[in-house]
Amino acid sequence: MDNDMLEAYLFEMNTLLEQIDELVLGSEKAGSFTDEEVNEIFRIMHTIKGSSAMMEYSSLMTVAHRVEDLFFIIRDKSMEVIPTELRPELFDLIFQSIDFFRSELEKVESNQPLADNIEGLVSKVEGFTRRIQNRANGEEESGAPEPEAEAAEVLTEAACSPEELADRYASAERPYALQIFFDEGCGMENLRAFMVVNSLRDAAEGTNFDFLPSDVESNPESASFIVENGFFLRFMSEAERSAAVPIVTGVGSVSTYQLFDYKEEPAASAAPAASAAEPAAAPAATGTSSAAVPAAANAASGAAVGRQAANKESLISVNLSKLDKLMAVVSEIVIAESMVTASPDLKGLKLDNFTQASRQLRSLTDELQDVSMSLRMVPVSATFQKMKRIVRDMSKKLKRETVLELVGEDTEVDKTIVDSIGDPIMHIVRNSMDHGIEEQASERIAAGKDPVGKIILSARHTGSEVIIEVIDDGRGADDEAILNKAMRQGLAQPGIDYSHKDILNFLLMPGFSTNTEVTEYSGRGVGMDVVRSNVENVGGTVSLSSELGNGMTTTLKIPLTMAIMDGMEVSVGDSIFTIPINNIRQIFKFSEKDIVHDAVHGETIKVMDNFYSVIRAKDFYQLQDGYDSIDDGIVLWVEAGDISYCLFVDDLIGEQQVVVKPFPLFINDYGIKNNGISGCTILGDGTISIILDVSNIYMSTLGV
Amino acid sequence: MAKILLVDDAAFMRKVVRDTLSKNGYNDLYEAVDGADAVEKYSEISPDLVIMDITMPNMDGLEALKAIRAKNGSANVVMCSAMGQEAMVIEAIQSGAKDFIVKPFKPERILKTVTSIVGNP
Repeated sequence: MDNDMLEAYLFEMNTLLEQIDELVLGSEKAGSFTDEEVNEIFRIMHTIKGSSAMMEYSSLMTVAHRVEDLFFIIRDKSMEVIPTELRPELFDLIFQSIDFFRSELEKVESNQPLADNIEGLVSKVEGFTRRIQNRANGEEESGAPEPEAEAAEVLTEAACSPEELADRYASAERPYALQIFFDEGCGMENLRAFMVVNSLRDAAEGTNFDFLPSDVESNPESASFIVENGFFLRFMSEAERSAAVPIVTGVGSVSTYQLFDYKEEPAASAAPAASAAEPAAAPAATGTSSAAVPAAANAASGAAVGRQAANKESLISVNLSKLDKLMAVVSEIVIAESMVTASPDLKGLKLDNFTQASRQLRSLTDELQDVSMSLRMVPVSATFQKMKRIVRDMSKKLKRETVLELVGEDTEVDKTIVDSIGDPIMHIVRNSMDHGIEEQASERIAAGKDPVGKIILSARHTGSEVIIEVIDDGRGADDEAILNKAMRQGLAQPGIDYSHKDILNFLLMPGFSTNTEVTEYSGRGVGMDVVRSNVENVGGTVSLSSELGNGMTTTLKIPLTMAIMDGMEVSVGDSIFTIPINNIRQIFKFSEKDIVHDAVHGETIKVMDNFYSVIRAKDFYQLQDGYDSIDDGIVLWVEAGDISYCLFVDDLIGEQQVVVKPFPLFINDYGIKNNGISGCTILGDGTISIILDVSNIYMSTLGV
Repeated sequence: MAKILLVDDAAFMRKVVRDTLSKNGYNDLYEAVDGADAVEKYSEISPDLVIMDITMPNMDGLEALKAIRAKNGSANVVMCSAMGQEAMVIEAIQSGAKDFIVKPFKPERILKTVTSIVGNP
């Protein structure tokens, strides 16, 4: 299978799994599935089975098939077939299957071999299905007939020569036989035979014939007989048979046929169907005895009952790289537009029409930019929904009943950002479950709280940022315990008076973990420091607030998109740098005498009663030109996360919305990311401006 | 060139069939995502052949087959089914399905079925 096929497969599978996860979580609360939900799960399993079979992923196919079987029964008999006490087991079984699909798909994605031992899960599902089946049968004994009884008619002889066939299968009553073979591997051969019979009945009404095996319609096992020995039609007259040949060969997947007659001329070899005799007008009007198998299948077909499915398919999926390309082209257009309209050649000309037209162009390019940005925006709901599952699993496992409330799931964020915040959010939610929510409900009751723990996951927009908060109503942070721990880890120094905020910040430091035992969920060697670095990678920040006994709030501030941002253009000598507006707290003019030299921090300046280090952009980048005296230039008080310092530059050029362009890979090889540079942008006049990474500049001056 | 309408709620399956057919010169392909959509598109496009899944939301393949055959008694519809759906295949045959394909299928299978009904591209 080629790559885009695999991609399409994975995309669809993941979408389906998300869909089913959400559905099952919702129904678990209700304790039951509605008919529509049963149908939907059935269909999803059916699709997973079919698509996985096409990809030859047999483990996925098998498990999906078993679950599909189970839901077939439920669909047929309604949810009532599953008594209330068995329902938790049903839900667990589905969750286990979903987890299994996920882990298998991950293996597919990373090119690892799939599970070859799926017996455990398969037999669990099968066992459950059997119990349900027995129960259903017990209730309506008369209904389901024993399948064995029907299978009895299967003819089991091995393939044999035409002579033997004639002896065995041609009868004196209908001496003219036609033996048909179907295309190899076409599947459901018995039903293809049924199709042959059907079209023969339609096309040559009144023809008197019978066929072998005679139970093709009702007995799927007759398929293997047909594969091996062929399917036999027997006619009263040769004319009828000749008339049948073109009809039979016209049926799809009939590959070869052979004629043979009872006793006389055994093995008349294949005669092409030349003799299109009269359409068997000779009515051998005797009771068309053996061939009477009318439709009986309607009951079992499970035809759809008034389905009102959501119209999910007004969406198309687009490869992200195409959107990146679009974004790149659009930003070039935006830049080209301003290069044209602000061209120095136009200076001083009186261009009424041109100005009018360019104003219109401007508003259109703005719109184009907005639209193409919006294409990349996806709601955070998918990421949020996953947390429901985590809270569900953990509250079961840890026996701490907890509900998760989602707020603002529809909030949209750039696709790449959504992808990179999934893990951090998951980690925070796990932490809240593990360390935040009290172990015993009694503890909560004693503290005057609802015995059921609560975690709120919310998202909202503020201008250019999205704010994601995880709020739990658990124990909250115990400053003393954290401080002691930080001391032990060597993160805090004894004798220093730490503020509440300082203490919470220890939680975000590498190597800190409040719980002594590593639990199945929170431990795993990653702490909040990993959360912080992940969030900072996409230009965001993490902050904590907590009060002992009153839970903890973790706030992630994340830029809506990394593709476009508001920047402040500053100059140093003849270089132009862009600093993200979000990082700038205040801009000052200072004089040389405001500088205080500190033995540890070097040059510092006092701003709002605090001293901050001064970093000179000119020195940092070892530029030739630029002001040396603080009096001449401008000081920007910048901040990123908990890093705060003053950056000295020559001059401000102005605020501008810029399109962030990543550096080409070969430039990245020089480690520029560790030199305070996060990317670059092209200005209206075509010059390049480097975008500064405020926290990284600080880190690299410290030599971290 | 024969117009072919591919109906499946699974985008992946539509892609599998589409890729197979377009690689072999059948380029006039249309897609529908469920039974109701198929019936609607059928009237719109009047395809020479419909290849349709059985299990779909929003009107399944059997209902859609019947609706299409009610519009055009000689419509060519090939059903896609999976193992275990024998009963539905029987119903489909009785409702006038021209042929059926069993999933998982090899590309040749679908190609042969299509060629036998609409001829070479």
